[in-house]
Order: sequence, then structure tokens, then C-alpha cells
Amino acid sequence: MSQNNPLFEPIHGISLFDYSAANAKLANGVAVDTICAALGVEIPVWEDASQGWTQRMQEDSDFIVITQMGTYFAQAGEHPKLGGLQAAGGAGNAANLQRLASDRYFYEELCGARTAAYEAGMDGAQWIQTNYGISLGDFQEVAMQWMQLQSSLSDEEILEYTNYMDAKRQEYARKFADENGGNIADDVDF
Amino acid sequence: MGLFNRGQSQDDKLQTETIKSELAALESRLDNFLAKLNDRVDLLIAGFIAEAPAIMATDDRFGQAYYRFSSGIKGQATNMREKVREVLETQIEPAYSRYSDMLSAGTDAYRLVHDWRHRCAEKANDWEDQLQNRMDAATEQVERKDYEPIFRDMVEQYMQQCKYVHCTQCGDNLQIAQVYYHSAYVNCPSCNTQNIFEPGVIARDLEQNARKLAEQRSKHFMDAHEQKRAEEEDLYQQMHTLQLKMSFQELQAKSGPLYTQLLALNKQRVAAEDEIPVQLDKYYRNIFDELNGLLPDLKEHHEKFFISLQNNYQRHDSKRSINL
Amino acid sequence: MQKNTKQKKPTSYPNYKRMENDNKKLSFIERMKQRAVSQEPYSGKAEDFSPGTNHSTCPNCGAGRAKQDGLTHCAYCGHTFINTTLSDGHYIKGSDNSTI
Repeated sequence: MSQNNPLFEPIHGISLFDYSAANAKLANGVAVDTICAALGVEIPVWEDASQGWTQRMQEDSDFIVITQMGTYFAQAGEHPKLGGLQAAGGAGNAANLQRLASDRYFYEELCGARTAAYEAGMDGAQWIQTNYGISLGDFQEVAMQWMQLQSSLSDEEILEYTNYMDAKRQEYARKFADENGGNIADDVDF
Repeated sequence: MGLFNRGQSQDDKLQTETIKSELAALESRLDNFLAKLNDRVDLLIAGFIAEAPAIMATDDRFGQAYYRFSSGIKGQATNMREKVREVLETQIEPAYSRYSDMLSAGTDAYRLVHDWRHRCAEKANDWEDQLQNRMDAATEQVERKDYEPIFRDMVEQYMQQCKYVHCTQCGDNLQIAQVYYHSAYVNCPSCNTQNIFEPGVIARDLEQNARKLAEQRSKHFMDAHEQKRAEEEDLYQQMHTLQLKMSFQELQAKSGPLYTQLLALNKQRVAAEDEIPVQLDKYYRNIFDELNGLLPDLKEHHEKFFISLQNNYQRHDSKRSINL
Repeated sequence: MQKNTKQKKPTSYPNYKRMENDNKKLSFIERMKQRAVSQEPYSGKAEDFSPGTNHSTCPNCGAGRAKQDGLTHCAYCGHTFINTTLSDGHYIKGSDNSTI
């Protein structure tokens, strides 16, 4: 990432790191007023910068801005002004979040469960929040952290995790279907 | 019986008949299974089409309830797809492996087993393709909206609402004359005070609806692009079929009536192939021309966005390599 | 000779078994609909709101803000509204920096 690249120029003093970390916090339920106060700006300034960053990503044919945003998203907790911000409801289940970030199988299981929830007509992000106390922003932050490590994995490891996630997805799909009276073709046998 | 007897023995014939009968029974069960699933697909799609409009009508501005409903419907299609895959893996493949292991390649029985497996796989693939097509068509039908009146009404409603927006300092009308896509500082023409103006949800959703309208107005270019793709694919298949009919000598000699026909087909194919990226380019250019008309204050951004998109789809533009 | 007195069945009984199965599968759609509609979305159901204005007066001295004074500082008491340096965005420009 070149510091001289105009695509990375801050907008109204709001850098890409500011923008990315703020979005992680917003996804955690932190109020936009709180974000603005922490960054030292007012809402119209934040929104003008926000629109500007979205446009930068659309105008970047090489995807370097969006890639860097992903990296910054994974580091939201380390942002000097925004890192410690929490939603009004509290920090959530710290133990589960810690496990999500350190236990790859647990992470893949919850990814599978979340997908299965959407495929069962539920709100997957809300299901994770309700059952594990992990908010969407935190989940996505951890997801980006796991993605950063992807290039260091072997093909076998990648396949192992993909298969594990898919098996969990099917397991949760069965559970969610049973909770709602079954699937439409459950009684159709070969 | 002799050295040149390539016919089957009585034992071979009996074995082939037994295998044939067992495989036919399995195939018949597969046919029934797919037919029963299709009955459920009928119910699923009919229910989706019947219920979706009412859900959309009372939904929030992000369409979250509809999104959950349609995800749940698609999840059922996934569930049925998995059932079919499981049947192939646990019923069809094991029978194929068992017999193909014990039979010699080249025998009638081997060919029978091979063709049977291919046929079963084709039936499952066709069933999946049909399911996908039906789901896509139902989704397209349910989500179809005319964005002309939607966009027009949004602008009108926003302007109407803005007539009641007043300065927080002096109370005079702020005389909002443009669409603000997000909150902004707006100056009062009477007392010069900066107000923080919240444009409301209609203005916040306007850009997204402008994009949908621009795509709607450009659809004929996308249809032409897809039609050229289908044409090129069809001509390529015709060429392939023709090549299979030709002898090796004809292909080597690069002459003869069939070869001439092949060249003519390829000429048509190349003409269609050349049009594919041209129509795609026209599609995107038209989208951004329309967007510039709908939201002229974003023109500078639109032009940069277009170039960025163009760079990407041109990167993926490729031609078939045909060796005639 | 006795006639065959066995009664004939009516020729058009409704197929209750099939109807029962159809109802079970129709109610699947109903169940899916109920689940989708009754779910609380992650950040809550999105509210609709109309255009309006909010105060932007100085919390320190109560003065209003005029365009020519720029957006970042209060022209009367110097209070900082915006801690960063404004650049050329869409609605806000670099020229909106207060000259204090």
C-alpha cells in the first residue's frame, strides 16, 4: 500500500483505517453519534467521508482499497480512538469471542450454523448474537483475521475446514428444520 | 465356438440380463424419486409466488422479511439437491463400482453398466438444472418491479416532504432544491445559519433505485449480449457435431464439402463472438449514461466507476481457440 | 336367482389422503412465512424517517453557525466542532475549514 496513492488519501481527515474500524463498530451496534464523537467529527462529515470511501472502492479497478479495508477491519480492536468502543448492550460474551478467534473449528462451526440459519428463513447474525453473545462486527473482524491466514494453509487444510464447515451446516440445517416442522421433502425417499 | 467367436457365452448372457434387470429397477426408482421431488418443487414454488407479494408489501425499506423468506425457500431447494446427491452416492455409484470392477472393459455388460451410470447422472443433472431454472424464474417474477414510477414517485415525495423543512434558528423554509443522499450542512437563505439537514430515508435510498432504473433502461443491451452468447455456443456445438461426422482424412486435408460447411459455421460463430463484448460494453455505457441523467451531480464519480468496471470485464473477455 | 346385492361404491370419493398430504405441505409454506416474518432482524426493523433539521449551535456559547465562518470552529468562542481538517468531499469542501 503506497502512502502516495491518492486512493488512500484521507477524506475530511478520516483515514481508511478510521472508516474500516468504524464500520466494524457500527456492525456491533455502536451508535453513529458515539463513532463521530470518538473521531472528533459531526455526522454530516462522517457521512460525506463514508460516501467518499464507498466511491473510492467502486473506482478502484484493482481492488487494493477494498483489500486493505479487509485488513483494517481485522484490526478494528487496535484502533487508537475506536478500538475500545462497545455497544450500549455491553461487550457480549468475551469467552465465546476469544474461542472464535483461537479455535478454527469453532469458527467454522458457527459459519456453518449461520449459513444454515439463513437457509432456514432466520436471521443468521441475530441467531449468533442470541445463542453465543457474539455481535456481527466482532464476528466479521474475526473472519477477516482467519482470512489473513488463509494463504499460509495447505490445500489439504483448506479442504478439511471447508468439509467441516459444510458438515456442521448440514447438522444445523437438520436442527432448524426440526424446530419448524421439518423440510418440505423430508418424507420423500428413494 | 472358435478362435474368432466374439459372441457371448450363455453364462455371459445370463449375467448381463441379471445386471440389466437390477440396474433397470434402480433407474426406475430414481425416476420415481425425482418425480416425487418435482411434486414438492411445484408446491414450493407455488407457495413462494403466492406469499412473497404480501410479505414485500409490509416489509421494511431493506426488504429483510422477504430476504429471510426467499432464503428459506432457496434453502429447501438446497435440501432437495442434497437428497439427490446422496442417492447418487449411496445407491447409484456403489452399483456402478461393484459391476464395473468385475466386468471386462469392451464387453456388452460393461458398456451397459457404463451407459446406465451416465444416464442416471444425466437425469440427476437435468433435474438440478431444471430446479435452478425454475427457482431463478420464480425469483425474477416475484422481484420484478417497474422502477420508472418508483423513482419518479420517490423524487416527488422527497420534494414534497422538503416543503416542510425549516431553519432551526429562524423558522423559515430552508428551500431545499436538490436531493441530498445523506446528512449535510444546509444554509438558511433567510438568516444564513448552517443547519444539519437529515434528508430522510427516501433520499438515502434514491441512488440505489437510480441504479436499478438505469439497469432496467439498459436491459435490451444485456439481452442482446446474452443472445449473442447463446448463438456462439450453439454454433460451436454445431461445429463440434459436424467435426464428429468428418473423417480424419477430411480434417487433415482441410477440404471437401463438410470442411467448407465447417468454415462457414466458424465464420458465423466468430461474428457472434465478436459481438459479445461489444454488447456488454454498450450495456454498461448505457447504464452510466442513464445514471448521469438521473443523478447529474454524481457524474464525475460515475465516469470513474464505469472505467473501473470496464477494466474488470475487459480483463475477463476471452475468445475460444479453434484449430481448423 | 339372487341378484348381486353388493352395493356399488360412489364413483367420486374425494382423495382425503392426498388432500391431507397437500395440506401438510401447504402448511410448510405457512410455517416458513411465519418464521421469516416474525424474526427480529439483527439491527432491528429499519425505521422510516422524513427529512428534517437538527440544531448545529455551539454547545459552549449558544451561537448559531454562519456559512462564511466555516464548519470546524465557532466564530464567537473558538469551540471546536470538528477536530479534523476538511478536504474536498461531496457536500463538504476544504473551503469549509474555519480560518481560526
